[in-house]
Amino acid sequence: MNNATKISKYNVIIDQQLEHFFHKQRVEGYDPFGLDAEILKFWGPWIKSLYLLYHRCQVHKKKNIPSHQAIYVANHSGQIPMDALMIIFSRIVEADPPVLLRTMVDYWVPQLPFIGRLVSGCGGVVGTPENFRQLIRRGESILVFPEGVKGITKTIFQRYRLKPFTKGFMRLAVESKIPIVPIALVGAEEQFFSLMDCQFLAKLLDLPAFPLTPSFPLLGLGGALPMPTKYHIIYGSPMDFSKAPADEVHIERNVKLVQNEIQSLLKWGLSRRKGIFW
Amino acid sequence: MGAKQEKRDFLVSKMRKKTILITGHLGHLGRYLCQSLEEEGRYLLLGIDHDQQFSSPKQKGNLLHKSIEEMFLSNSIDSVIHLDLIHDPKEDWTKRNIYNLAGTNHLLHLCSKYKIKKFIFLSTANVYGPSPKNPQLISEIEPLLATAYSSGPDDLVKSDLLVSSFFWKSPQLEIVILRPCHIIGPLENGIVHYLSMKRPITILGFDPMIQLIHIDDLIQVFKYCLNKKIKGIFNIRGPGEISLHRFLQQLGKTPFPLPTMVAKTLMTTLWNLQLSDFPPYELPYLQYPCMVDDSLFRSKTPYTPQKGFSEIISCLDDHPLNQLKS
Repeated sequence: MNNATKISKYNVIIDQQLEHFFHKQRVEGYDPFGLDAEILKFWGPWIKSLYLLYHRCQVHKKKNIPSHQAIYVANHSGQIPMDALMIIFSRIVEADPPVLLRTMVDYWVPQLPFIGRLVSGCGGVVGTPENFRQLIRRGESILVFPEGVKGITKTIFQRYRLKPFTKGFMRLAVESKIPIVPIALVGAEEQFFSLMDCQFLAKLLDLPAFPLTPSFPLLGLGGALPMPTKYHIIYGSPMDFSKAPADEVHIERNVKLVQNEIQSLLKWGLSRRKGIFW
Repeated sequence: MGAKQEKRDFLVSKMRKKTILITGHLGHLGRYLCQSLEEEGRYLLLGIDHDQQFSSPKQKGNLLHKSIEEMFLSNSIDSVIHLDLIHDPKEDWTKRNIYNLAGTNHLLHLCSKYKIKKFIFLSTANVYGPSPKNPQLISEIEPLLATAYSSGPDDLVKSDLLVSSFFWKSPQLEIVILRPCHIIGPLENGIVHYLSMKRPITILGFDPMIQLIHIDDLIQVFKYCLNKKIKGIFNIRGPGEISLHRFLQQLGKTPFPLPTMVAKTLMTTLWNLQLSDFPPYELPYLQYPCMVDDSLFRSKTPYTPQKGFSEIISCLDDHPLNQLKS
């Protein structure tokens, strides 16, 4: 499928989705978590351009994407959460029925002026267990990054080596009996060549991390633009933990299972890609 | 014969008007509640209020005064609705603390001593405090962290906790603690003052989701509490959630956005100079959500809010504060 065909196909899906959100807003009222059809309408075309033209996302193993409610678990990388945006967009346009994933975000995100509102407007929700449960009760599918800040702020030397996963997502998956879909995203690690995380500056600016790259902060904000690396999004087979015991030993073991699955999907993706830009 | 007498007694007791003591009956909400209950004709109302300047056909007094015990002695009170807390941010904090805490404690002891059936306490959802770490819809089991997130007076949180402590101190007393979101009506509370500003201050880059409830829906909540056999802590919300900016837009107001630091400095200075009604410690409520989940109350009663945002907006439009400013 060439880009022009893709664009027209995506436009139809996006328009239908926006109409769905506007209708929902009119009938059921506003989303209590802050999802805003107006914000989606404004940012949709930009995200589409990033998806198609800037990062030229390619989705693999689409047949694994379930049509029912699921918890999507992905690796986190790239200093800025472009990976989340691209995974969310891929789930809307690449599989039927289109689903807007609700991303669990860190506590500090809502504290950032403008960005906090933008994230919640696009479906981001602060990652508390109670928010997770409420979203599940509402029938939403959720995207989580169990590596958290440690994952996204990895340096280039640690690329594609997963940081230890937190266990919260597994506890809630067992509790809610909803399957987990592992996702590996290849390409985001190289969008910034982060040489080190300057914790001193991070603490000074009250940020969770402050990456130093060859271009940032030397070239100012221009140096903070990510490189147009090609993204490969690989969906793994859904993993069912509905019958798994909820004790800590089993939770830890099952978290490891998911982590190993994502690590092997990453290996698969890395072995198939020809270079970081194509 | 005995059975007939019993049946007659039962019917008489059923037909007897319930006696309700309302504290704070001279306040805006108290007056509205009294009027609404009186219209039903099923209740005999008594009142106590800290504001003694008004004279009322009902009894008057002060929660701290020993003479209120006479009211319990001379009347067979069925239920107490406790609204009489000092909320005025300009009031001396010591006076507020003493009145709100000692007064509530005195009232609770009297209710316990005279075996009152029901005690309904109006707290607020603001006791949970605004925080980016809050669950988006806070349930009743969450801790009350208002004073951890903003440096305002802590007497409202303490009063709520004080009433909660009577769940085990007086288990026979049916205590209901209501934590409603912002109440809109012919009142002069903080949110009505804020929304009546010509250009309400907002924090640049932040747009928290808010919940509002129309006073008529809150009155329904009181009626359910009086008539149903329920006890516990209940969050109460109105028609739903809306972002602050969108609500201001629908209200026809242009917000006045200020960066966090500027807003803090400016509002603190204006407050200290007594040039502003907006306490600076309430600024975090303009940044982060403090919204509640009312599913527990809805599961125990048939409560559904009847007033939507359009009614809330017209209520604000008709408010004397808005009329005055326009």
